[in-house]
Amino acid sequence: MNWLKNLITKESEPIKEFTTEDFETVKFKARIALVDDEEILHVKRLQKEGYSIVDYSDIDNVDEFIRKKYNVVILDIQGIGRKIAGSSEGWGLLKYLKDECPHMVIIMFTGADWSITKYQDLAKQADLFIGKDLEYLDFKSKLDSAIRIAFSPKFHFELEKKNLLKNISNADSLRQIEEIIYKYGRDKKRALKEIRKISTNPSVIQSTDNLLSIINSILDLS
Amino acid sequence: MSSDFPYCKISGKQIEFLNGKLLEIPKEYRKRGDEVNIQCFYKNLISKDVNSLVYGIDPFGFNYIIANNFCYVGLLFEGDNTSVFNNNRKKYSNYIFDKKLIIGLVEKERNLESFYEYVPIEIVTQNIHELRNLNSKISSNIDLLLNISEEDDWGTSFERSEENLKKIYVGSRLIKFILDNIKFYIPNYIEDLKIDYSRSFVVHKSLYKIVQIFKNDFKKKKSDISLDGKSFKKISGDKEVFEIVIMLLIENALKYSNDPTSIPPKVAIKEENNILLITISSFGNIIPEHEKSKLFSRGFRSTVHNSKVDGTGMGLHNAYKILKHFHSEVSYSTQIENSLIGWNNFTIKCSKIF
Repeated sequence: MNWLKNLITKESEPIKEFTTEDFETVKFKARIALVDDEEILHVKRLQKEGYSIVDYSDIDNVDEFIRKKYNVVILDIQGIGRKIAGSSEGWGLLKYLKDECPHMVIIMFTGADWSITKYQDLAKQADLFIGKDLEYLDFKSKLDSAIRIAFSPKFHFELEKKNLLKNISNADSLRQIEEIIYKYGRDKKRALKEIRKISTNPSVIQSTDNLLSIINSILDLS
Repeated sequence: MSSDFPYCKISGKQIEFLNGKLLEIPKEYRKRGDEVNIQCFYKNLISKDVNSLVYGIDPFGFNYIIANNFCYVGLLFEGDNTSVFNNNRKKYSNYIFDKKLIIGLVEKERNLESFYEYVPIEIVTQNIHELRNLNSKISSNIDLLLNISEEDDWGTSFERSEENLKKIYVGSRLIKFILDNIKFYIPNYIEDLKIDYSRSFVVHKSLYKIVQIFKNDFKKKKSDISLDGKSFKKISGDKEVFEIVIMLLIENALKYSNDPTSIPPKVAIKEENNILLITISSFGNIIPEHEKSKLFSRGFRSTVHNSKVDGTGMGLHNAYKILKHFHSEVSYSTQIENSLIGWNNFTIKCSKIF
């Protein structure tokens, strides 16, 4: 019966960001992919420390890759993605992944500043940049930052807000939806019921449904 | 390729006459009827394998100048005289140039084209990227060998490591420092830096690390840089970017010390009214009073150093600009006013600490 009690208590709790303490445990549950055609020694060390990171030399089937629902993807720029993105390589992959799954946190892994300048419009879509020559501890700290973003309900809400704004003209309604998500978000059914009182627009319901699924999949990790 | 002045080049079996960025090709070169004559003249000229610079007057009465198949045409050099040439002078007064000036420009262009003097910037940037990538391989391997798994362990792990491992680590970090400094020449690079303020770091640990790097550098005469004071205060931002500032200031201190072996630079850290003060001092020529305000300006080099030590005048400027991202500032002071020699102190003031 304890599990049921825990579940009920959990469901009635408002949505919050992970505390520093919780994050230190939950970060190891983040699904991370690194895509680089060269061997990156940091990956083995991260795996040893408990990070769930998969090492790819390229992405051959991007849709299959997307289905794996990675929270954080570290993308090299040169030598990958030619099949999908041609000469724009990693930048093209970034665009494809961000267009298909904007909630995926993507780190561009590069020391090529000339390339960032050349592809600056695409570069804006990246969530973070990691220099290739960072020491292991700095690399790990940057990766933790990315996981923190990926596990932040606020980050996902802000992304979905853009979709909601297309279908809601009233700022008050948006604020109310935000309040409902934070207050009842752990109980998806209840949250959707409350949201339907504000808007019956199918796009709004679909958008909040997606958002709640993402947030709950993260919160369930703790 | 394009040029500031009108020029010609072989295009298939024909000679093509093209406009320059500053001057268009005189219309005589476009006239039908004169084509055969002028085509023959320039074909003959360009097909000769001439390394040295050749110039003269063409059948249209314009000057040409050729070097390595690169040929300016349609110009008028001051001093040359023929009847056609004089007619052209009246018609094309904008096309009259000093011969020496044009020769100088053509030589410069030829050297650029033939890579005699300069390496193209694309090759430099591409190779810097490759170097950075290769350096990252050294860096990650040495990281693994040093086996530093926590920031708190850095000091003890580094100290107990073998000397040759320390050297490889230091070498790799100094290469990164050089490559980082090249990046700072990209316009607005520092201004556009995106700092991750969700990260934070203990400043003292960064100071300790950078001091160790310079203490273990490759000089035969070691400089025993001291680090005084202790603080556990943190600031927000990317540690590795802040560490570049410390490297810039310590490198500066070593460079401008009169004798860094017998009087090594000093680094000190202290807290004062919830402000963190980091001072990097070197014993050497004192910066004159009238130059103090320009010390952090781009490209500025003090008169007390510029003839003795090579430099670009970019280090202090870059440090100053990077520190703005950390809500910090750097200032210069000296203990003895009106003296020629003494301690030069650069103090970083970090006000947003926790």
